[in-house]
Amino acid sequence: MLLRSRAFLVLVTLVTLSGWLSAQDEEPTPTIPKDPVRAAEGGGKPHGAGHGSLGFQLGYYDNSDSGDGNPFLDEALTVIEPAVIFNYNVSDSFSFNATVSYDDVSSASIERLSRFSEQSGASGDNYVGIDLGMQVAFSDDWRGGLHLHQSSEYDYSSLGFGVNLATDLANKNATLSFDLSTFADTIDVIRFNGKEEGTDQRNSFALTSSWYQILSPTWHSDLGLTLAQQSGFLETAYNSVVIEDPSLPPNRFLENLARGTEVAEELPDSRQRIALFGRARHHLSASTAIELGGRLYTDSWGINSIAFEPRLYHWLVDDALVARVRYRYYTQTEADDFQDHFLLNAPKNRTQDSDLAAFDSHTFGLRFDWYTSPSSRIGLAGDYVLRSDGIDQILLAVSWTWTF
Amino acid sequence: MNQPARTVRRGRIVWGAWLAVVLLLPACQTVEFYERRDLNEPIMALSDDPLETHFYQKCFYSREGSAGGIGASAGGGCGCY
Repeated sequence: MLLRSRAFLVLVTLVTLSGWLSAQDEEPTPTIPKDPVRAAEGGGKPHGAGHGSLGFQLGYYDNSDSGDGNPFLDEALTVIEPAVIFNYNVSDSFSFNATVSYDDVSSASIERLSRFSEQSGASGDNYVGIDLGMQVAFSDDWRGGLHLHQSSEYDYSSLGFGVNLATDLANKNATLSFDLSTFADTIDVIRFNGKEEGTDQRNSFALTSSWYQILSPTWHSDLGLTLAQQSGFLETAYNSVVIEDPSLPPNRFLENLARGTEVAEELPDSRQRIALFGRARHHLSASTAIELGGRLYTDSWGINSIAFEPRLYHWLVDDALVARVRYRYYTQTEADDFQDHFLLNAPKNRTQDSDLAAFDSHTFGLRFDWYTSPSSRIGLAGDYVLRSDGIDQILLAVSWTWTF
Repeated sequence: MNQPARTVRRGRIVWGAWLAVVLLLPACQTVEFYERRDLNEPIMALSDDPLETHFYQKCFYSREGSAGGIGASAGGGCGCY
């Protein structure tokens, strides 16, 4: 029954698409020169052989711990990240890009290790990541590319590979694209108490299909679907779960001195994830645009989430200073294996990770882009996240981009 | 509800949403190149600054159980924090 209904849906989809594309082909062929910039990428992006861009960004992230979230642990975290990105068009049909980033991480969960004798004491974490990509235009309407990823931390390394393919349709009123990414991650399993349990693997596979569509001379949109499969060691190695037992003395390793013992977090070895996302933007006037974006998500761990994000873009000074104001609402259900409290017996799968709990958040963001010259742009962005579990976050970023 | 039944229900929801969108596509008009001036304005660029996206993916969206913001892959490759 399910297969038949799916086959019917596929048939209807194909018939509708073919009919629509045929209708588009009947439109008169444009007699004016081709637009040099894809609308989806907006103006100001360098195109053509010998052109490119170089960008720097310094990002700052901080979340404090107000005592909510996981009451047993201090979940404070600070990240400072400088990053560089470089794009270069070798020819009109071939370009490459590279992104290098470094994270300096200070977190209570890492510092906590120094309280256990089995770990000499890590006081911080350092992440280095490199992404390389190339894009080739096969024809006027077809293009594709490859991307590689490598990153490493003191207890985590990742190797990623991906391919993408895109085609313009209907007189370039639409673009259908596919991206296939796979990651092979290696985790040094260092537990909450510093105990080392060798290494383990995490494999991820994600297929994303997206549809860009011009809706009118002042509206365009993007819609996408991601299917992802993860397998292997999916826990956070240093996460623990507290099994509470009133008969025990206060545990000095716990933030709230609760009576109980800690055991390692355990989660299923596989996870299937589905995300449907989209956005549409409208050019209201010469100086203002508005956007509404959203995302629906579900996975096999029992987490369902909804996000929606309206945005406003406005030129404060024509062609020189633009502001972006955004608000994001996000809500999620808790994972099946999450519990606030575990009493006496620990189930096989268990987690007290606040990020896998039910919560909602409100994000308020502001960004300014100052075009100091036709080839130079300075960006300044800030977001404040109000989470219902008290783990509020602040993000700041300053960047400079030079196009040549 | 058991896991297979839940998976089937989710599959139906996704297919239904995708079908609804595809059925709406014929309603879109064709916009000629010379009519796209407004869409090419910097304030109409649908793609965010890649440096900003990179940072937010790792530090912000990874703190959500559904990891990945709007338009982001829900894949792996990040130990995150």
